[in-house]
Amino acid sequence: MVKRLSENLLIAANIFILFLLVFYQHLHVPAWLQVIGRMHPLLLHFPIVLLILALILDLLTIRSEQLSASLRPLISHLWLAGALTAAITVIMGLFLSREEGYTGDMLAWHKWSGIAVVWLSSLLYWYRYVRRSVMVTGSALTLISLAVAGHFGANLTHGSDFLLAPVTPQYAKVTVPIEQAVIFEHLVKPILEQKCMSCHNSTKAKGELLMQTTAQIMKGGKSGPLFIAGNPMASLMIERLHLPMEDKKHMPPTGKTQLSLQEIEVLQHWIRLGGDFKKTVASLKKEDSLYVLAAQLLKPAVTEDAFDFAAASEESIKKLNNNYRVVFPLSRNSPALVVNFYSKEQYSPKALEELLPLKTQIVELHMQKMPVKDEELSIIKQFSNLRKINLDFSAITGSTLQELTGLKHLRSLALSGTGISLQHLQKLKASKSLEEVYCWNTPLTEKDWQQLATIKNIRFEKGYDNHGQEPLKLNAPIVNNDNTIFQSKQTLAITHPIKGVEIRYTLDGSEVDSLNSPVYKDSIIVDSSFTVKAKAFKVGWYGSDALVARFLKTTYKPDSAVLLKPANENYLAEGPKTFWDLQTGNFDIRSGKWVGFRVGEMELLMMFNQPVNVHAITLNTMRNVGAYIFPPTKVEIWGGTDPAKMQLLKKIQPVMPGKDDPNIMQGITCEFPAKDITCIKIVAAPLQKLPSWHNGKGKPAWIFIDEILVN
Amino acid sequence: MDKELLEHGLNMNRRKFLSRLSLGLGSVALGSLLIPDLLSGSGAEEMGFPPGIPHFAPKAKRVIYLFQNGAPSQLESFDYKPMLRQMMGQELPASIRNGQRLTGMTAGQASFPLVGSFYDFKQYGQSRAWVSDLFPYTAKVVDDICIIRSMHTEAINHDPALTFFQTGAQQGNRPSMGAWLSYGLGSENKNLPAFCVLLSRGKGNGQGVYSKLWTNGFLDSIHQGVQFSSGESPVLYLNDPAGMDSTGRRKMLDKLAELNNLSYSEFGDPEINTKIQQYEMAYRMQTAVPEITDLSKEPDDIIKLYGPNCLVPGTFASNCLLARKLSENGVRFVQLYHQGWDQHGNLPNEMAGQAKDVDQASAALITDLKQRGLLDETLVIWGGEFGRTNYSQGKMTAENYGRDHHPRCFSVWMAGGGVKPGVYGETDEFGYNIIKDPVHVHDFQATVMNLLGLDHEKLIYKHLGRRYRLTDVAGTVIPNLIA
Repeated sequence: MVKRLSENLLIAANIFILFLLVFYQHLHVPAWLQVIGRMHPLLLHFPIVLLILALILDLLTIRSEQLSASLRPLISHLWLAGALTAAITVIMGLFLSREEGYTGDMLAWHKWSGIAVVWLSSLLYWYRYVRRSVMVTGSALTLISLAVAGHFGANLTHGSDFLLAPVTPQYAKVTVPIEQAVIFEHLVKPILEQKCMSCHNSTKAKGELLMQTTAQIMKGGKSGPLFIAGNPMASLMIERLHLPMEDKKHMPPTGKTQLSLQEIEVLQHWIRLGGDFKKTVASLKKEDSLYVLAAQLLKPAVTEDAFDFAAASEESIKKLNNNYRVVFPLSRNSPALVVNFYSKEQYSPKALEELLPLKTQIVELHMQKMPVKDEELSIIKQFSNLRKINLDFSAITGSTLQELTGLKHLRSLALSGTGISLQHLQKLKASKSLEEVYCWNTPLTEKDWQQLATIKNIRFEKGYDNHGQEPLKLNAPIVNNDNTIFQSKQTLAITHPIKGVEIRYTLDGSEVDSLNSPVYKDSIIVDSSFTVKAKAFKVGWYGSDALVARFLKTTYKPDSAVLLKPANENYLAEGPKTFWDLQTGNFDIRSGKWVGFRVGEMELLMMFNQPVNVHAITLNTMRNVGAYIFPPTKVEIWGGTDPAKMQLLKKIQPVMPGKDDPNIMQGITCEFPAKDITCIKIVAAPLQKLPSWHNGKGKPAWIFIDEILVN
Repeated sequence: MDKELLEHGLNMNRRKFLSRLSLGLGSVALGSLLIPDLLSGSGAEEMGFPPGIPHFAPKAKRVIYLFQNGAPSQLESFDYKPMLRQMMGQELPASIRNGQRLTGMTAGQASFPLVGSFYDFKQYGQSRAWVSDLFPYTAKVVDDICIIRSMHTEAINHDPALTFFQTGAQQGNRPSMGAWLSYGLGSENKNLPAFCVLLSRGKGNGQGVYSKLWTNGFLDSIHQGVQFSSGESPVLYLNDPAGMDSTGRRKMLDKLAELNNLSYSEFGDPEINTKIQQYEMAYRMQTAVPEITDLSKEPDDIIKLYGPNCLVPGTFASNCLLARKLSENGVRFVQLYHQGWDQHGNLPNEMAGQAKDVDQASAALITDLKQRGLLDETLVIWGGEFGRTNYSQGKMTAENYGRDHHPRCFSVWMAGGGVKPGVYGETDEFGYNIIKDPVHVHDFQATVMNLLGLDHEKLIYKHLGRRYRLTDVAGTVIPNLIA
């Protein structure tokens, strides 16, 4: 029943196809039929599979009567189904081909081969068992027609070079240097090719627009010319690109790859400049937007060298690698090798010679600071693929530089810090590939440099030299003493990092004079508190700022001492003996050189076995306003010969700092009439409430003391 | 009997199974031709590319990162905003701030008065880039550098921002950039660590740096940054102890290696081999390091180039000079930190001091590398962890103001190593938001890795069941930064 119906349908379909072909030119496809037509690419897979399956089964059973008899009904069904779906596919295809933009040879081939499939398969369905030769030739023809139809169909949808593109040589993008680029050829055309031509070509010609030749582009399409020279904003092409995506006329249509903003800009600028087909990028001004764009587009994305030599074996690379000669590949999968040499003690010409088995693969040779001599360039020249050689600070004089001109790929040669001369460098002119030569710190004179500037194809790097520059100011000398507090005598050591400077100093606080102040020699020995000022001088430099450092003397050290109230548990340091260890602290309060107090007062009792004559006591304190570290609000000095009956010798109230006062170390001194005493008590009170301008207003401040001087 | 029935039902017995299996294997082999890395053994699929070799030809081989810790103000350095001067003291429009969160330091502030740069700007070089008067030396090399004015980050406080820049995440448990590069590229010079760290400190308000910033994270410890100190022995514990000469040291190491080899043959733990190698490297460092850290043999011109401070250990200038020497000797990543750029107040004053510390030496580094033919293979980076606000923090006078943290835009510069010189990106006229070509920290990291021949999506380390990258799960290479 179904079979009968299908057979009838097949006949009907064949006749319908004939009808459509006859009236093809007059065919007008309504919208709903267009939808059916567009299902052509979906359905076409059925006949291909069914027919090929039927063909194979026929072929397998052709020699066996028995098998053939049992399978014949199935094969027959397959033929019928194949032929029928082929016919429906062709009908849909015919509808689709009436849509805008399908013309050309490719379509014709596709259409007629498709129809051939229908007719052949229909005939074979009924007549293939008539004679074996009918079956074989018929099947072969069907297969060929299927292949042709399939191939051209695919070309229609994907473009004619789709299939072979990956193996076609010109597939690899050609990059043109910007100096030679033609605007249309190298900037505009690639965009049209990639984004427009899959529809606007001689096979599809959507909107009757073709873009393959310049004449076609000038001609434009159904809606008029593509562009108005000089006026991109009134040009149809630009308008279509800028229409909103939802607009039916937006180009490229939804689903196709859109142009990037950069590509649209290229097209706009090309039209702005007149839509010329011959104009070169080089003729544009460097500031022109299109030139800027071109510089971005034309510069090859990857400037990797293409190395056409074979890679060396991993084993041979490994063998030549050691701690002082490192051979490694430029990158993964690259045959090129880079060699670095380290440690001049380990270098010998033999180390270079040993690399000769890799002479083809080595592209960079880094031998800076190696004692390479002129003779060794004859080894280096055998490394035929070298791009880069670094011989900075090597022992070469340049007498054999011409050896290197035979290296066809050599681009960069570094000779800084060597003894090369102009005469030798000029030989490099013979090199065709060399781009840069580094010659800083060489004996070349100003005149030599002018000569080198005449060699146009090579850039000689001169580097920094100080001639004619404004002199720099020296930095101040440095005091080498760790501590600025001493007990009896102080040996003052001053140094300067730069060799050959003259240091002049004063000890009485007066300014340093570059002529009259004494010159510092080895060391100075001083036996009372002093302030040193020192400046450095050297020919070719401006004199330095003054180094200013205060050195304080402390005369007496107590024999025992005790803190009557404890210090803060986090800043106990070494207890009271911290105060006369002669070690001043830096701004790090955790360094163990500072004793800290907060909230409670400091009460320190110092005892001397023998009476001492005291007239001044100094507390060395830190001030760091931001960190809540203030001077004490009051300091009291008590003294006497009996700890129970001490007198108040002095009481002072140090000045409190302001908001923006810098962080300093500050000596707070209490002076009083000299007195012989055996015990001293010092009371120092931290600020109870920080002032209102402070971040921590109302909270208690800290005091930090690192040294106490008794004089 | 049941078994035979079952086999019959399955149409399968051992012989058939095996012969079918061989067919199956054949098809697997065929399939594997399409996936080159599938059967190559190293689990490359899992781990990205094997580490130690660049993925593609690198432009830069080494990095010197001059990190300006504390976040230097872009508005007094490289991002010229004349309008801020005209609008001095006026309120930052809410439409510009657009809900940007603030730090605890200015969140309570009643007004946000705009403040222009105290320092003038001029244009320099072929790129006509604007540079402030605080950076006269950098201005001279402006054609060698690429100023990115459109950096932005996610963090608003120093530690997370710094950690983010260095490790790609705000929490500090991941490997630092230098460790990643050491892992990805391997070491050039086997006598020195591949990742070195140098610290210096300016007089400005400072922020701490911690060793977690140069950590190897979950990578092998050989990738950890080695901190050089500024004292007499730049690398601690490298000198032989008193009474031990180098022959004795050699003998001891040979004996130790013997013992280690013995236990290696017993346990086969590859960590033992690593240990032997590390001892050997430390031994070679004993000769390599003193040679490099000795700055006394540098020619006079070099001292004038970097400034006289380059001979004072622990200064930024001396670290720059040391960085050049390390880099020249094949250290992959030299990380400098210069502290003191956190100008919440007293900005004009403090920033002048900070700029004076770094300007000459930073520019000198570029010139010095260039004259040795090393600039094209060394990438130099200069910049902080975020930017600073266009409004004043605290009280504002014509001569004195401060700026708070600003993550939405800031400037960094890069030089050499395949970077395209020029100016990249743009901020609005308030200097508050980016209007063109934004560069996120992850984009920046991806680009740096690309310059070094690494695909940031393929340099992966699997740890605790997750695959980690420097760029986390983001980052795009910015082709226009690459020459």
